[in-house]
Amino acid sequence: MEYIFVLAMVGLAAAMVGGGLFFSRLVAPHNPGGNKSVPYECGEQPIGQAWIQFNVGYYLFGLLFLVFDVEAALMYPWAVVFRSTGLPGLIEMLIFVLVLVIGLIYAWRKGVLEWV
Amino acid sequence: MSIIIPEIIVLATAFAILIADLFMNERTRVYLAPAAVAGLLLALAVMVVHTPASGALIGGRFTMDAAGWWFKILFMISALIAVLLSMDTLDGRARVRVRGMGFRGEYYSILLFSVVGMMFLVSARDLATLFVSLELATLPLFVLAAWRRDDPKSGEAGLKYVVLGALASAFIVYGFGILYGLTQSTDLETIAQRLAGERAPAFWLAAALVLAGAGFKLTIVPFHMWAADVYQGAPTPVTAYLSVGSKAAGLAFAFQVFYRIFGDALPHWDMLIAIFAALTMTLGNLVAIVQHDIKRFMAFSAISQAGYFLLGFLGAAEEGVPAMLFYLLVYIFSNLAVFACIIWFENETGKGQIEDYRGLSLSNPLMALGMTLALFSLAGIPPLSGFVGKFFLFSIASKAGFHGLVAVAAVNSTISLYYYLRVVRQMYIEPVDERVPAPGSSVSIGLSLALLSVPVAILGILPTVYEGIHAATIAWLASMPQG
Amino acid sequence: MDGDSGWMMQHAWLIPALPLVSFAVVGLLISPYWKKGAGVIATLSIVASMVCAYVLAWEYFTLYPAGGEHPILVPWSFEWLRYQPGLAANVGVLVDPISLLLMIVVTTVSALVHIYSNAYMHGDYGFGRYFTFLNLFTFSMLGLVVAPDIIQMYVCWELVGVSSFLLIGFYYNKPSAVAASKKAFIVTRFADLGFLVGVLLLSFYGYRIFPDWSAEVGAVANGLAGTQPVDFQYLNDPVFLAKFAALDTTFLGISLLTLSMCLVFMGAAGKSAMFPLHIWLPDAMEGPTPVSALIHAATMVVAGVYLVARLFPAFAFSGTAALLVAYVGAFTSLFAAVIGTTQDDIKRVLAFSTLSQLGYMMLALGVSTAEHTLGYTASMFHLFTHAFFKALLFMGAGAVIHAVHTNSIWEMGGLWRKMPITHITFLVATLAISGIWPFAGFFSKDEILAAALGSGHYVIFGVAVLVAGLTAFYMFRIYFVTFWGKGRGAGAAHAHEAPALMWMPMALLAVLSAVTGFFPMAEYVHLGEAEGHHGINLAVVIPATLFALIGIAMAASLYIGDGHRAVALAKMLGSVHQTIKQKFYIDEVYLFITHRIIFHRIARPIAWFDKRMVDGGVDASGWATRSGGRALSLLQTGQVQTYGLWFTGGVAFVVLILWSALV
Repeated sequence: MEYIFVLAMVGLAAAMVGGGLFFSRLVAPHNPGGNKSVPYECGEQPIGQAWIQFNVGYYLFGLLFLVFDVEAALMYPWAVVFRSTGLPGLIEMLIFVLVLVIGLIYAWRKGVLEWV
Repeated sequence: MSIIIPEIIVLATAFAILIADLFMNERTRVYLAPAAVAGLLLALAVMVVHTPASGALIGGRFTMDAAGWWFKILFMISALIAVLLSMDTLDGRARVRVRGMGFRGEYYSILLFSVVGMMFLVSARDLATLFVSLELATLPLFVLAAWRRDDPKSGEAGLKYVVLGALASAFIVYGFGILYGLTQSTDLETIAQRLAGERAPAFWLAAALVLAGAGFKLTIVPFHMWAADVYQGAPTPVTAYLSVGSKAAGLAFAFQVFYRIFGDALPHWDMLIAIFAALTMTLGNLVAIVQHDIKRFMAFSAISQAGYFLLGFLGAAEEGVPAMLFYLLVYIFSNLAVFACIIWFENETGKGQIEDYRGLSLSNPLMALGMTLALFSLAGIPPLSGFVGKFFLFSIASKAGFHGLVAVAAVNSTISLYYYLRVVRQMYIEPVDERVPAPGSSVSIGLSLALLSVPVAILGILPTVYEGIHAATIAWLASMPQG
Repeated sequence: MDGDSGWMMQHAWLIPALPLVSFAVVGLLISPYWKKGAGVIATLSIVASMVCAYVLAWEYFTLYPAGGEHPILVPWSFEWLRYQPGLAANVGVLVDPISLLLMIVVTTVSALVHIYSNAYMHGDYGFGRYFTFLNLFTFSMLGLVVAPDIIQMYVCWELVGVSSFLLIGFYYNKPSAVAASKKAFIVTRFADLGFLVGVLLLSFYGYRIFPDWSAEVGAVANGLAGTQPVDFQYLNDPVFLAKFAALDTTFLGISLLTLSMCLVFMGAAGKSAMFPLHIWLPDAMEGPTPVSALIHAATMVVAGVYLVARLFPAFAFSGTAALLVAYVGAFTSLFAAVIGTTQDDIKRVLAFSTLSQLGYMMLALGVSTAEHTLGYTASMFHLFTHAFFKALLFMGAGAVIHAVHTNSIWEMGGLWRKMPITHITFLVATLAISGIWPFAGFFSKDEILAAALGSGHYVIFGVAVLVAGLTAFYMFRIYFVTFWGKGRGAGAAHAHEAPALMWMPMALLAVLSAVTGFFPMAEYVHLGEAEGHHGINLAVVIPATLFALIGIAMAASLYIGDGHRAVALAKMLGSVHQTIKQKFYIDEVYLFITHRIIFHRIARPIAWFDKRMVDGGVDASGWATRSGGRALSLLQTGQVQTYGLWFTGGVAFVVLILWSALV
């Protein structure tokens, strides 16, 4: 019986979402127009289609950036507790960085870092 | 410290291969496979000679025990044979070239990563480690399944595998999340202690989610759907590895889940397990009958075999665990032996329908003999090892009082004999219209087949191995926290 | 084993292992690719095994010299099957005088047969297959001989059956050979059913009595700690036998000990072709002739005798069972000898002669008791000498058949001039089997007769003496017809001597047949006190030799020349002769029972039921299974969504089941 609250919660959540949609439908003005379905690009006039092919390098660069970004993010808390972890902590972090460096070397050799 | 050395060796080999590959040319890359073999052999040797069968590291989060020792040995043997079986295809020695099977360095290192994941999986004693190592074992398999990028079937296999695998992982994570919520701990031992006697609905929800994840890896009906398409689409050496490595990892995960987390509730679940065992055996067997593609056929065969494994969970652990481990050993050897022949045949002729094996006994009697032996072992024909393995499992179910289930299993064994014999019939009995051109031979595949056939033939007769596993289990159970 | 035993003793497993390894290697790797090598390697392995057997015998009798105690040793064994605590079957090697005797006989004859076969089978399509089977057979036989427990004995016993089946049916495109192999297999298998029940009885009660026994004899203190309830040493132990015989459970008034020994004897009678299970042996001559020399002279058929000898203390303890052995042996001996006088096929005559001689060995075992063990020694002695001269006879017959291309003695004749070596060796063997001094058969037969006389079974003694005469008669009959007179068939005119590879083993066997009689067997093979009968017992020798000479004289008068006297005699005897020639219609009786009664009245209706009901049911279930598979395979749509749905449905299912189980 204690789970009745969960059920109530589920119902409430559904009501919130459904109610919101329903009320906006009820009260909002309904005025479709061509301009409204144009993609939003920070107020600029959109050029061409959204379905264009990006250079795959974008993603690879993005991924590499993300990896090292996360690494840096992890290093902040590590640096905070570095005093207490001592040498083993340093070694662990070095291993972690080493693995990432291997990934970087791999990407480098495979030519990911060269912009075509 | 020494208990983790095999893992470190395999991991180091994987990285070394990945880096070395960058600085090699096509000609020298043929040494990558021997390097992988050497790494695995070294790790195996360290494991057998040096590693104690018990110990703990990192505050008990990485633990070694006797059952885990056997699992790790089996993982490494599977990977070793998988590398041997992949060599011809990847090095371009196949008479009929398989397109798109390049990138050797990545291939072997990814394979080894998966092995490391499995090895960590059995040693994990923490929800987070368990999940991460499960993912480390599984993610490489997604990649391997999709290895032939230009082949739509391979791509489809990879995509289906990754989507359904993600689904399964999601369920597992939800389940783990609820478990953490119930117990406020990620340590498996603590969880098990706090779960003792717990019968809240959240508990069975968590159990169901985690069981579904284990069922996915073990290809238990109805969580098996991915297997057929993935086995068929994946490159054949990858299928070989999937069929044994992934199943072994699934069993290892099931061990962790059943014995370490839900050990207290396991005895109440025997009906559930029996139902799934019966469903899995029956569906796998029935569908296998109507298959024509040999890889798809082996997929359903593997599904039905998973049903037999489940029987081991029905009895007391001291009987079930050695029986399952022994059958896993037998299954790995037999299945890999079958796949050795399939890969060799595909390399030589480029064909993979069951009907294509017609007349193989004439064109290459040794290969046909090896395959027949392995198929008979899978069917459980005495005195081959498969029979003994099945016998132990059946007797456990029978002792647990599930006589009906044993009858179902026996009927299924008979059905399985029918479809395994279909292949044998093609090789030996069906008339050959034209003289089949004699296929060539392959050193690595021939060696693997020879290495595999011996245990397939004699494991059932020599009781030593089973007794070794049994002793290991007793030691393992003695080390279990809740007895 | 203690450290002072020799190298061979510790490695005695090599003797059966060599043929086994050779079987696997030759069969799998060599015979498909290199025909000639198959023969060479198979032969070499047996020769090596033979050398090992000799060395082993030498080591054993150095440790335990002739005339003294001859303990049973198990120098090598390992646990093979553990049924439950306290009941395990070992695989091992048992060494005692009779197993050594058999090892020597089997390896020697087998080696000579292998050598001989290299020439005899030359150019045969199945050359490699032949040697593979021959090796398998030799392994099985050696495994049987060295068996330390009844389980290994039984396993190898069946292996012997299988390999002889393969060898008899070697010419599998010849319908008569196929029929003969099936007949041999089915008849011996039927007999083995009795053996199996005997084994089960023995091991069941052996297991039950075992704790009592080990407490009483102090098994640990007496160094019998590793003994298992199926070991021969235990089954032959007087303490065990007394306890077993004292059980008040009986079956139809027969004590369990007697019952199980009779059942064991049934198996032995099947393999040794004792009446009424003898019908397979004459037909088994369809196999290649060297196979007959190996299987139907020296080895497989003596397995039954060996089994009885191995369990001799148990048979002797039972008494009744031993008596059964004696009378069955005596009857078979006479029965087969009578039939042997009328057969036309040279190999069939030899087959019936084998039956008769096996009967001799059995009767010798049967008449001896725990106190008077002369028969036991005599039986083993006769087994030993018979192996050599009978193998020689078969090889000689093989050489003749090889030269003349027929089995019928009436198409031979006058071969002594064309095949001098074969002639001489055949004559030696004939003299030996007829029991003429100084050839081997004389001594061993003499000892059997002495044992029969000494035991007080005068009927058996009379039968044995009569058989001695008959043996001489039919053996000299074929000798005269084959080698003397004029060549009668087309083949006989063009006959020529056998190649060296064939006559050399024959010559060697001829020497053995001539001299082994002087071997002091009683010094080596005996139970308890060595009870050799030294010197010659005139009460035995005179009638035996007299009867043999009469037999020879009759054969000479009837068959030297054109044989018209024999024809006249046959005509005079009329239906009696016909009955004997048709082997007393025993085969027909079996056929009547099997065809008319079993097949017609029992099997037909069952077959109808099987075809209509059972097969129909099976077909229906097969159809249902396939359709089920086809229907279920439709679930595999290939759509990831479907798969995911099933997955999620499965989770819901698990939740439901857990709910119902736990709530």
